[in-house]
Amino acid sequence: MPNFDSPPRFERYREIVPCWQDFLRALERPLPTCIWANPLKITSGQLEALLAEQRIDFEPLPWRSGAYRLLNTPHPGSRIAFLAGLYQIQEEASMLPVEFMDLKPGQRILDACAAPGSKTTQIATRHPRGTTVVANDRNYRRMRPLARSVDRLGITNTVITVHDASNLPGQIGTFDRVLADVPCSGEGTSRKNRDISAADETDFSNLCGVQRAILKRCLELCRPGGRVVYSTCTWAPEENEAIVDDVLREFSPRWKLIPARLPRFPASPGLVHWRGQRFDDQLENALRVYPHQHDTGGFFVAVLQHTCCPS
Amino acid sequence: MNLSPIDPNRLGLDATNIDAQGITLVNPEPIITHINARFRFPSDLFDDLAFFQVSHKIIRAASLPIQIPQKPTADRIGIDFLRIDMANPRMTTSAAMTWGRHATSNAIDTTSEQCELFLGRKPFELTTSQHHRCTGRGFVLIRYLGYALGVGFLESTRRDDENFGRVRSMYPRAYSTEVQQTSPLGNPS
Repeated sequence: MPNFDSPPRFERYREIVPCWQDFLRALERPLPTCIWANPLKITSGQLEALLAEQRIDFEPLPWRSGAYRLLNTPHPGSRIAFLAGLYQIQEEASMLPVEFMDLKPGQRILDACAAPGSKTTQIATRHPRGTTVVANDRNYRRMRPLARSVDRLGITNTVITVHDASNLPGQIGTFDRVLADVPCSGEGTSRKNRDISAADETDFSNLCGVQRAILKRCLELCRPGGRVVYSTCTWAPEENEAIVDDVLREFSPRWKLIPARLPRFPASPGLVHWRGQRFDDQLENALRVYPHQHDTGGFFVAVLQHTCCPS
Repeated sequence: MNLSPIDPNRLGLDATNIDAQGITLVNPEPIITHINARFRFPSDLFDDLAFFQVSHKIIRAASLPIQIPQKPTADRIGIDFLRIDMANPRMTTSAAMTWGRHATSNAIDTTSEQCELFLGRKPFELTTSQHHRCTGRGFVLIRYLGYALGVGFLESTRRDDENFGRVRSMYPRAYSTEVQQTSPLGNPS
């Protein structure tokens, strides 16, 4: 149970988080493990049968077909089905950004900050034929798990690069879809990392400039009519709405924020004001995910659509 | 194996970008002939792949039409397909895992005990029926419940040899270390 005698770790969000006490209780619970079936190797029905055969308890996620929450299953990363590349382990909220990318066969897609790579594998396996995914991150060491996942899952449509995402060269080419899952203070991961506390001014001074620069570069590399999804695993409006608001101002009217909503995953809208700062009304179209809403980690997603021509 | 370069334009790929990456698009025919001689895959299984020689050791496979950037330098393109720095080039673990389920020759459907030994990098003995599916000494693909896990090496098919029917595990050490703490098949450790 949470200790209500001392200020909670995320007290600064009390005024914006719905059902505050439920939020605090959710932070104390362990994070469920989720997986999704790798369509390159197995159908969701086959995976369900295999999990049942191996006495692995699971329940399907209501908002994403082929994805499951595992119940009381230790070491899902060393099960035979995992080793054979039949499923990928990914936190439920972390699956959200890719759902808003409107992926179609034949697209060229950039995952600008790809490490450790779960979202890259999600993208690459969605339409494997004819699609190219460029998975980039500036941290070579953190990209090793992605290389391992690519091998295990049998992904052949991905190019891995190691470069500063805010300074990607023009020779990388242009993209139909871009995911900017930027480095952040990681507040939303606090259920699995107990040391995470609320972000502060030091975090903002280290991160916000980088986040803004990455998002701007991603918009520049996106083709007319394309789409950029900006996401973080943090609740700090300074790293979320404030960044998108800033970039929208610079790139308006060519870019607009479209609604990030999933019918079976109701969550909270983005903020239009925070501590005296007013954001563009479009920020309400962003999505905020708190742990008590779906028993997940925390996330923020904003979907930016280029308006010059239909995608 | 004669790995001759081919013109990227033939496959609709950007020659400038491939040159800039310092890799070579190679003729797929000798590669596919080599692995089919051992594993007999369906004839059209690799039709949608481009094969790149990225070093003197490795051929990588990427699905067509892969749109490679000119810059920055790619750390990886597609997946490792074939190790060529040996007298008898062999499929990599990642290639075996990806396509091994389609092999119709020299593929071993292991029992749970054999599978555990393979994942632990320990040798195991083939049963008579498994032995009948192998054409001779050499690489074999290891499967469990129909799903491919990697590559092994069948030491001998001569009955008078002390290593007759013995398969050496070539499961990567790094992978094996990760599964040693638990029972991958769900059995009590």
